[in-house]
Amino acid sequence: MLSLALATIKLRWASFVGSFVALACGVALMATSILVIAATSDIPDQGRQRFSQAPVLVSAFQTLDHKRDDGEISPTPVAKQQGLPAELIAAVAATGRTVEDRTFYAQLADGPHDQVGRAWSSAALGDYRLAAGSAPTADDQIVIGGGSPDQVGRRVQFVTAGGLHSATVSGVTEAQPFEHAVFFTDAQAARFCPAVGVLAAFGSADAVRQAVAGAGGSSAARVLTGSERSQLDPHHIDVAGQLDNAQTPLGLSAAVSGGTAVFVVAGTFALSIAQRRRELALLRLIGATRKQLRTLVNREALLVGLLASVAGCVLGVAGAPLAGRWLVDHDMVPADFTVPISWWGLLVAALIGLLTAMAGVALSSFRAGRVSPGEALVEADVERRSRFALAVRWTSGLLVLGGGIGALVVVTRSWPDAAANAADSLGLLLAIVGGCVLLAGVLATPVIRLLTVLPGLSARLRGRPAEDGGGIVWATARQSSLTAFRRTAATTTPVVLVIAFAGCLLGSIDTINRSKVTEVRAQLAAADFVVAPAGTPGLSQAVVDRVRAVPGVQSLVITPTSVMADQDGQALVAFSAATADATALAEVDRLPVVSGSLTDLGPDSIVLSRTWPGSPQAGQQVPVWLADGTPRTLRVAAVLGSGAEATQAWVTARNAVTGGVGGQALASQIHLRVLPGADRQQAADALREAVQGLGARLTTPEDTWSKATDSSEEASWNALLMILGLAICYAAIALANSLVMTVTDRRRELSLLRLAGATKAQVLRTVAVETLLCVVAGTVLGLIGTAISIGGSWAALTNLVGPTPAMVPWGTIGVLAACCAVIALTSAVLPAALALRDRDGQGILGGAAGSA
Amino acid sequence: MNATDFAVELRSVCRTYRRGPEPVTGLDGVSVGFPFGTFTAVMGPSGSGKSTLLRSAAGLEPIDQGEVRVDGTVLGGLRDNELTVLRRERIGFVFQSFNLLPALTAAQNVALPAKLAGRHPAPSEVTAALGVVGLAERAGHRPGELSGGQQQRVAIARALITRPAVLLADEPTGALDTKSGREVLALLRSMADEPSRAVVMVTHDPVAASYADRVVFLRDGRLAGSLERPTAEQVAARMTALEAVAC
Repeated sequence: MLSLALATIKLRWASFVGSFVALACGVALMATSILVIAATSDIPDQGRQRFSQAPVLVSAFQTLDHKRDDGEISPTPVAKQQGLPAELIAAVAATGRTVEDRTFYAQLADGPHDQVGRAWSSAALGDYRLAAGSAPTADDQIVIGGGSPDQVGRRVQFVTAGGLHSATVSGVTEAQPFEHAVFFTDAQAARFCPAVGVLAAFGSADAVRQAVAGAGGSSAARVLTGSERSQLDPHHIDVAGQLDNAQTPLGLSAAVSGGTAVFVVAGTFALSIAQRRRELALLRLIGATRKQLRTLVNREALLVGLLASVAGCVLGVAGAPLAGRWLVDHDMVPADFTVPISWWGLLVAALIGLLTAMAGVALSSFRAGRVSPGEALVEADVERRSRFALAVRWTSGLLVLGGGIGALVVVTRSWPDAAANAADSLGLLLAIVGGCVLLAGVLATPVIRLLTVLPGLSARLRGRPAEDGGGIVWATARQSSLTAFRRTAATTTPVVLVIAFAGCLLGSIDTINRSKVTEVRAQLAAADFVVAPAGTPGLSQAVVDRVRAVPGVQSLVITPTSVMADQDGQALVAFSAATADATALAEVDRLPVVSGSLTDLGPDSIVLSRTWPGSPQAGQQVPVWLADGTPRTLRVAAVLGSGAEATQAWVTARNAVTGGVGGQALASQIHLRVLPGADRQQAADALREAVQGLGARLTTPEDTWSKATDSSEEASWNALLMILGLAICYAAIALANSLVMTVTDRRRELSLLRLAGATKAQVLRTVAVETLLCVVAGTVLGLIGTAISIGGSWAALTNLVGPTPAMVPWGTIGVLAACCAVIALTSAVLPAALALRDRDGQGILGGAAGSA
Repeated sequence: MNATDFAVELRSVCRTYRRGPEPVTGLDGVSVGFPFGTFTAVMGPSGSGKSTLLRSAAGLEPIDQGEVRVDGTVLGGLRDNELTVLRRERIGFVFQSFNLLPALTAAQNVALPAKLAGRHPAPSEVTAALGVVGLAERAGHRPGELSGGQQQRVAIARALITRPAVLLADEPTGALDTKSGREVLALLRSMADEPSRAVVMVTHDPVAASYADRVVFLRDGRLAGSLERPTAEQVAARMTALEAVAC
């Protein structure tokens, strides 16, 4: 059977090209993704690290022993580490020399937004060496990491969380890749940031461990040695975050290409089985059992899968470095990111490729086994629709689509916040797309019937048979598309895939993004101005103080913090929260209060989002843990209807933990309202002047809400484009492939049309109309899927944030439909035109007869 | 004559098709035996049931009534796999066209039934079979590179290699020129000279039928007589008469 499979592939290679290309692309992407993901999950140790010169590190790692519902105790790190306790520092200091590390926000006037301040004594830990000048000896002296020697002696300004300062540059060091640092004297650093985040110890590791165990142990600190130390490197932490972000789109595109490849393989093999029923029947007749035929088809798929896997792995090996460079170029990973080639990664990709081929061929091999030996004696090859295959398609399609819709309805009702999140609802969207694609084959014919009913009706009105409606070209195209259902399905399915995919994904994401805009817009409805960071990670105390000092405006200063709560008795989860003044919160912003009152927010109460664990009611007492782990029971002052927005809770300054490791927290935004009677223009001028030179800018609420989606969406947008591009590639492969395979059937058909007296132009028009009918049918089906998924997101969002528009990406869908039409027309009309060339008289007859 | 003297025997076989609105009779109580060592031609006008008879004899078609025996085995009640094995071991087939798998060479096509049975025939065995039909030197050619007559001869060689009890041929010369047709018929004739084999051929060509030991005529699914040691003229005359009555 293997040799027969091999021989068949050799002879009928054209039938297998589509499967091969689709699988090879799939495996290549899979291999690339696996290699890149493997590379991202294993961050290479850099020679130069923040703490490379310290043998043992003690890092602040306070945990809460949270008792879960099942009685188990799970230690949970607090959201905002408060630094190493003094007795622990003392105990470790007794083991040998130690260096206290404090790292906090300090940004030079022209410095990068991730610049940090540190104490000079920790500079040696990272192997910083002075390039010019000397170490800071006075509190108003600084050393600039990676500064230029001519800066030495100059007076510079810098911002910390506390405000604006100035200092003299006493020296500069050579640059280090892991951070942009400004060094202060140890005393000055301790003033900026009292909390010690890391203690570098030079004694023996065992002694340090013992000292730590005796002073709080694992619920206060972690002891790191060797390569573990890199976990505290800012580079490591950034890279981990970046790589984590890069993994999702990579994994997704691999999954999508794998899934699409299954469809292409399934379609190709189904067509190939249909085309060689006689051959299979002959095999049965001379003694092949059903099982042997199934084996034959499976072997063919296996061989194609094997070849494609090898080709895909080769492409993957070539593609992985390219993907790495692409990620670097798009700032999704650090500049020194490389992708090592690992055998297991390629092996996994190849295995998935083989499994994909086997999954794709499953139905076809079953169908091959059902070919009856008697068919070998029948001369005519009539395309017949197997009831079983139809039933399988209907059942699987309806199950997947129904499951998707059902889950969407349930999620929309019960967890609207999940349905309103693109990443969380992705599985649902893919189920809807998958259902549409599965049903495309069986729904194409009824949709084409519907599409073609109008000319038929008009013909009937004129007293002619309905089939003649729209002229002979139209009638022939209609009948042809309805009869050659396999070709119709093969043309329609890729179109459905592209349209449904683009529509569902882009539509839902647009709708979700728009709802964020809607939400922020509603929140800022009464605000006149917004002060936002400009080139800085946040707003310093100086900005806050100066803005507050401007007369005639009321300011709402929003400072991010966290509040932890028990989620479903499972774990302590840190929710993003914000600190604000209750009066300002009620008067400047317009938050969607469901129950309670914002003005009730006080030192013993909290304002919660409706999606908070346990769905508390206003007036209820809820147990929470503050960011530093302090347990509190707070009264719910108000419940907010918000959901899409990130802030889950509002607390007053008393319950906000803004200090700790890394120094004081920065405010994220200030919302401003011009008080009645005050002059708006004057206020604007005063505000603009107040924030001048502090890394902040004055903007309008419009500017703020219109950019509400910009911040986080770029990466996922890139990923989406990647995935959409992939889907279109697959659609093109699938379309071109089914064309290659049906070209002989086509030739016979076209010759018969010519024999019947059609001109070349009429024949080509028929082919074009038939193809367009399929594309339009596919677009209609894709739009139905789009409507379902956008409807789901829209319903969930309306539930969450109130009236918000549903966004249908008409433009993109239009462009994609046009692309599909162009691809389909090219791959249908061009070969038809070629087949018609030199086909007159004998040629036509030859074409009509020539099939054997 | 003993029951086991027949390579294939049909007893009161009835077969009715229910495809259209009216049931169509394929076979209506046909009893006929094809003894070992004989070459029988089955003839009749279109729709007389010759193809149904051939298909029933090979177990390709379920019958409504009666019994079919191949080399002593009753086909009724056999499962699909048992039927497959029976066809593989005891029945050879030759049709009008499309006898061979286009992907395989002549030799590979000949070796195929044995391979399907899980056996690897010796190359000499395959070459010998091809030699019998005079195509030893074309063993490495694909069907596309062979003439129609050569393809039919390869099909006969493939049937030979399993040493079947019966060779069923369906219009084996229908698509061939006169010379190739004669070669194929001569081969079929010589195969029937083997005492452990019967050859049954459906044809509408009186010249082809004249190669047979006996011609069995069918009309409207029923037996309509037979001719021993026929000549082409006798057969043609009988056919003309049958078709005249049919119209």
